[in-house]
Parts: sequence; C-alpha cells; structure tokens
Amino acid sequence: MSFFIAHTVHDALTALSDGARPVAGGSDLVVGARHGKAPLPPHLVAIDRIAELREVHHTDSGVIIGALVTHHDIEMHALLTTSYAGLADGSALVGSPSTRNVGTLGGNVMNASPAMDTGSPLLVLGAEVELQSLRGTRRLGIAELWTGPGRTCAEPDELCVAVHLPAPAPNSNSAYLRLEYRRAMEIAVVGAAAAVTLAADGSISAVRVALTAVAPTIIEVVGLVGGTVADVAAAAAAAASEQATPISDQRASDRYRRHTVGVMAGRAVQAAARRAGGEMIPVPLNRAVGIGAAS
Amino acid sequence: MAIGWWPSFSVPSGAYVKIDGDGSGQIITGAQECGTGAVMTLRQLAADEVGLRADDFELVYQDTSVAPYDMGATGSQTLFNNGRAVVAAAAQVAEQLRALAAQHLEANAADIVLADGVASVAGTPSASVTIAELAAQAAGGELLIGHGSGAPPAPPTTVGSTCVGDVGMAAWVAPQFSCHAVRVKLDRDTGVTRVLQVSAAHDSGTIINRVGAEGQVQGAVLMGIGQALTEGTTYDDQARQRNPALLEYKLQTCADAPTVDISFIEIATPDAGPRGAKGLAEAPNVATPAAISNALAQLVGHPVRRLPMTAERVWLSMQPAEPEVAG
Amino acid sequence: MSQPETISVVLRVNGFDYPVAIEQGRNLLGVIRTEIGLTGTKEGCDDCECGACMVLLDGQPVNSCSFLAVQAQGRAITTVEGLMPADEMHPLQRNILEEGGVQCGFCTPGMLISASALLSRNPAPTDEDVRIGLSGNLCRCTGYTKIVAAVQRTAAEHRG
Repeated sequence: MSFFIAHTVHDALTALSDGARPVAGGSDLVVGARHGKAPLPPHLVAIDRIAELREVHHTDSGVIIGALVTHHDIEMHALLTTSYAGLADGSALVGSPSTRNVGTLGGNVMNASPAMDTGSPLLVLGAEVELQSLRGTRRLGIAELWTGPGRTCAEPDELCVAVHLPAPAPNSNSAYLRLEYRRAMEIAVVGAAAAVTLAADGSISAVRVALTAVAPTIIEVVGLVGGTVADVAAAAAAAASEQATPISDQRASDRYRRHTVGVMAGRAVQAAARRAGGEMIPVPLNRAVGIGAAS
Repeated sequence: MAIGWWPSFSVPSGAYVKIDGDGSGQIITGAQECGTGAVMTLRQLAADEVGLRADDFELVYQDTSVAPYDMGATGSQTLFNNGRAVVAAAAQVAEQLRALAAQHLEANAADIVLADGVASVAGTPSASVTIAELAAQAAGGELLIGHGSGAPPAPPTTVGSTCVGDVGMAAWVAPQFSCHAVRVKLDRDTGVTRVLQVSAAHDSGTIINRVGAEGQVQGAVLMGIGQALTEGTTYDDQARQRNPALLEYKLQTCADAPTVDISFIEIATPDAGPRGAKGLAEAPNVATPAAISNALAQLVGHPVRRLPMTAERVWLSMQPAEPEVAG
Repeated sequence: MSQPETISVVLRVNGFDYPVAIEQGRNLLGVIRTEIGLTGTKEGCDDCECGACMVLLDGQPVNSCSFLAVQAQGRAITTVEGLMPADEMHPLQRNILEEGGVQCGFCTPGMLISASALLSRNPAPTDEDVRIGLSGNLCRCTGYTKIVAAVQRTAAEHRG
C-alpha cells in the first residue's frame, strides 16, 4: 500500500510506471470502490496538485485543456462557454456544484462512461487526447480512446495530460442537450451533441452529431449532410434514433431511449445552428431551453 | 386541481412539563421531532400556557420507558394528541405559578395573569413579580412540575351504514381538508413534466406556528411532486430493490422546487386539538399528485394511470395503442 | 490478525492541525467524524448524491464521503463548526433558523457549506443561482423555499 502526492507530471509518470493508479477528485474511484465495482487500488498517486495540468491554453490552432481542469472551470471559462459551448453545456450539467468542483475533464474522459456529459460534445468538436508516459507522448482521436463502457485503450502507465480541441471554423458552434428527469443531480438518460457550420445563406454546410448513453461508448451519427437547419435537424433526429443501440434499464426502456435520443439530436442541431448564427444561448443549454421546464 | 382529506387519530399521549430554579423549562415526552415541527409547536403551547417564551423551553424527547407515552411521529398527529398533553401539563404548572404569585402579591390566584415572563394582578399591572423569581422560590420548596394527558376526543357517533364502515368513523374526529391547484408544463416529445406553480389551501384548524406550518406544506408539496413524477421504488425478480440509492430514487432537488402559495383556512372544528389545531405535515402529500395528474390529463387528453407518472409513462400514454410500460 | 496498515498525515480542520494515522482508503468524512470528533458533518447517502457530508476544501465545496482523507493533507478543510468562531452564529445559520429553513436538520450542515461557498463567489445571486447552487443538497422536509429565503436574506444583509 502506498500513497504519493505528485507535484509534477514527471513525478506522476514515475509513480504510474511503478504500478500506481492516479486519483484526481476521487469521485469515480472512491464511490466505485465502495460499491464493489473495483477495489481501491493499493498504490495511489494523487495528481490533483500538478499545477501545469490545471490550465487552459488558447493557441492559434485551438485550445488545450489540461486534464485537471474541472467542470466548474469549464462552465465559467469565457472562451469555452462561447466558442466551445457544447462542451460547456455538458460540464455545467455534471452532478452538482460540488461534483463539478472536484470532477475533472481528464477524469471524465478516462472513466469512459457512455453516459458522460462531456463525451458527445468532445467527439463532435474533434477532440484529441494527449497521453503521456515515461515512454513518450501520443495523441489520439477521442473516439479511438474509448473501447467500451469504462474501458480505454490507454496503457496503465499512461496519464491523460490534456484534451486538444481544434479552432472552430468561422460561423460554427456546438450544443449539447440531455434528457433529464430532474434539473440537477442527474445522469443523462440520453444526450446528444451537435457541431455545425453555417453557409452564407444560413443553411448548414457541415454537421457532426454524437450520442450519449445509447451504446457501449459515445457514438457519432454517420451519414449526415448539409442542408437547411430544419432538414438537417430532422435528418439528425431520424438517424440518431436509427443508429442508437440502447439498453433497457431502470432509467428508461430501449424504445424510449431510441425515440428521445432523436429528439435530443434534432434539438441540439437547432441550438448549435442558432449559436453558429451569432445568437447567445447561455450555458447549459438544458436550462436555457428547458426540457419541459419554464423558459 | 384536486382535493384531499386527512384524519385526526384520537389516541392517548402524555407529557411532563417542569420549570427549574433558573426559570428555564422542559417538556419531557415520548413524542418525537423528526422534521415534523414538534420542537417548535409544543414549546410554543407550553410557553403560552405559563407566560414564558418558546425559547425558554427545551423539548426533551425520550424513550417511552422514561417519558410519558406517545405513539411517535406518525400520521401527522403529534400536535393533535401530544399537544393536548403538553397543554394539560403546562396548565398544572401555571396553577402552581398563580398560587405562588397570589401569595407573593397578596392577591387572589384567580386574578393572576401570566404573560411576558411576569405574573401580575389583572387590572393592576404594577403589582407583579417575574416568573423567574417565582421559579427560584419554588426550587426551594414545592417544585414546578406538571403532568398531562388530556382525554382523547371520542369518535363521532356511529350513524349505521357509512361508506367507510362504522370502524372508519374514528378517522372522522376533526378531519382536515385541502385543495391544491397546480400549473404544469409538458414536453410532448419526451413526456417530461415540470410543475411550475402550486397553490395549496388547507383547513388545518388553528395555526399555532405559521412559519413552521408553511414549511410543512412546502415540504409535503415537494414530496408530493416527487411522488407524482419521479419517486418510485422498483424491484427485481428476487424482490430486491433496484433503486436503493438517491441517484435512481429521485427526490426533487432545490432546482426543481416550484413556487408554493399557501392559504390556511382556519375553521373551528369540533373535537380539534389544542386551541382548535389539527395535524398538517403529511396532508399536502394527498392532493398534490392528484392535482398534477388532473393537470396532465387535461394536457394529454386522458389520465396517466400509474404513479410515478414518469416521463416515459407519460410519453408512452400518448403513443397509439401500445402496451403500458412494465416496472 | 495484523493491524491494518496506516499512513500518518496532518489534517488542517477549521484552522487547527490534527495529526491522524489512517488507512489509505478512508474517506475524509469518516476521519472528520471519528478521529477528529467533529460530528456536524453528516453521513447521508455515502454516495455523492445528497450533500449532507459537504465540507469546504480550500474554500470550495466537496462531498467528503467520496474524498480520500490522505488526499486532504495540506489543504484547508472547513466544516460547519468552522464557519464561525466558537459560540457565534454565522449569519447564514441565524437566518436559516429565523426563516424556518431547519426541520429535521440533517441536511442543514451541508446546506450551510454550499450556501457559504455560493455567497463567497456570488454575493448577489438570483433565486435561480441559489437553487442551482444548492441543487447538490437534498432535503426531504422543507421543500427548500425557506432555505432559499435564508440565503437571499443573508446576501441582502451583507450588501447592506
């Protein structure tokens, strides 16, 4: 049994190569251990004090979000809540204010839950994950990272140090919407994110849509093409319902999930298009448009 | 909109009330406080009886092997039954205080008024002594202790054949009635329903503690919204609960709570509890889900026949000719 | 049977240093309540779902049920007992009592922690801000209305 507090990435990587497991906020690890999902690993390295992983860097080619940037940081960040609004829509919905304080983007990504609220926005925004080990650094598309529910292709000695998002094209933006039964403390029943680029005539010239909690991993809807906003939204809704492979559990039946993920996808396209056209829809979209709520 | 009814169960209940030499009082009872308001209301009743402030009293709730019997915080009956006992016990202490004050002020005990921490002679407020002084005096002699139960009111006279049967007549001792109106919003594409506003009118008799009573209504209305929309236990085929934790058993959060407008209709009721009060806490659970159900039925054109009316059940009820969802 | 292996750490709670020897897997909640003996912080769901266990860690609200105690060394931990110096009531505490926002009281410590964190970063919240700010603290009794009122009253008093 060992516990080590790392202050630099190198310290953390050394501990990982010696067999330790990383803990940041602990909200997945500690709760999971208590529920018997997986015992608490005997060798832990706390990575939450590595200052360099807490930063958001804005570069010419996009934005680099350190793995320890919290959901709270994201939902308050001036650039992320405007140019990458879909991601902020997701972060602002995670759990409660206290879970958003502790929960990190890196932890969310590496936990690889198909219900994670940041997953489908990251996918439609073209996110890449940067993994580091003493052996070197590699970057891979986020869809390649997730191999199943709770599973990634990262090696045990690899640490997620950052998420890279490319600069958005002109006249583009994103949105994420989830189905929730109450307004807080929820896990997505289903969710959908959309990123769209508008042509000069206001129609959609490029679109990506990804779906939450309807497959073993976050999935991207394939086969979508540009068109009027209404047409693309309708096509996204139909394709989402068709391509989803949801399960039935106590939160919802597969039939209901299949239907509602289409509703979310269509609405996400509409909201992303409004944002891409310059309309300010505040984060999170769920509270701004209100699913069944006052708006 | 919907109406509700809640019974008063007339059962025995007891309490001791005492005032110590330093002027502080205690209510010792088997009645319990678990968010039900006893800790505010019982102290108010005792304090009013002896002319002290509610803050001067402590509620010491005990096992019934030590304290006088009470059936426990069940059925919103603490005020109705234990309140009667506390008033009876405090009245004995008030009698003791009046006798002491009468001696002290050379007046007739029947003319002593106990109010604002002072015992004075009616019509001659300058002739007075503080209750703390009397308590200090009593601490060296006959202690200020009262015990009370109060006779439980009898059920209404049996009138032969009734819809609830004669046994059910016991529930018609001092019944209380309520009427709730709700405004809801439905997302037709998903079946998600949100309650935007609730108006709750309650005949709970005399309201002893208005702040506490409002809190009981607000809390029970929100629980009623949970019962209507999100709170339901489900079981697997081994009868194990599938949602034993709060992520899947969904209480309404602070972010879900609507505005609740409250009207207390204070009607004199025969055989009501102390000062005409009746129980309250659970009563607003009754009409809330019914009102939400009625509002939803207007929106979708038919009743949704299972609680909780989850988003999926509401949505499914709007789909053409499909079997209702299990579970 | 061998003794469980422990780690010696110093936890700084409400401005005091407490040296404790604890197992690596212990949660902060258990150590605060058992080793340190401050029982204002409550164990509700033990699952990050109810907020009864909330404490401030360097001023930010955290569910202590799901935070490793060893990971809190070197951080400023504030429990409900530490919101104000001994024997004084924090304005939030006074107002939640006066407004009637306490019924059974089990959620109250966590509510106070959430509310104080909210007000320190947003001194003039809207009702919606308060409702979202307290949305991680479940309450079965009150319906939240009087708790929101107490937070708003505290904010108004502070603004003068």
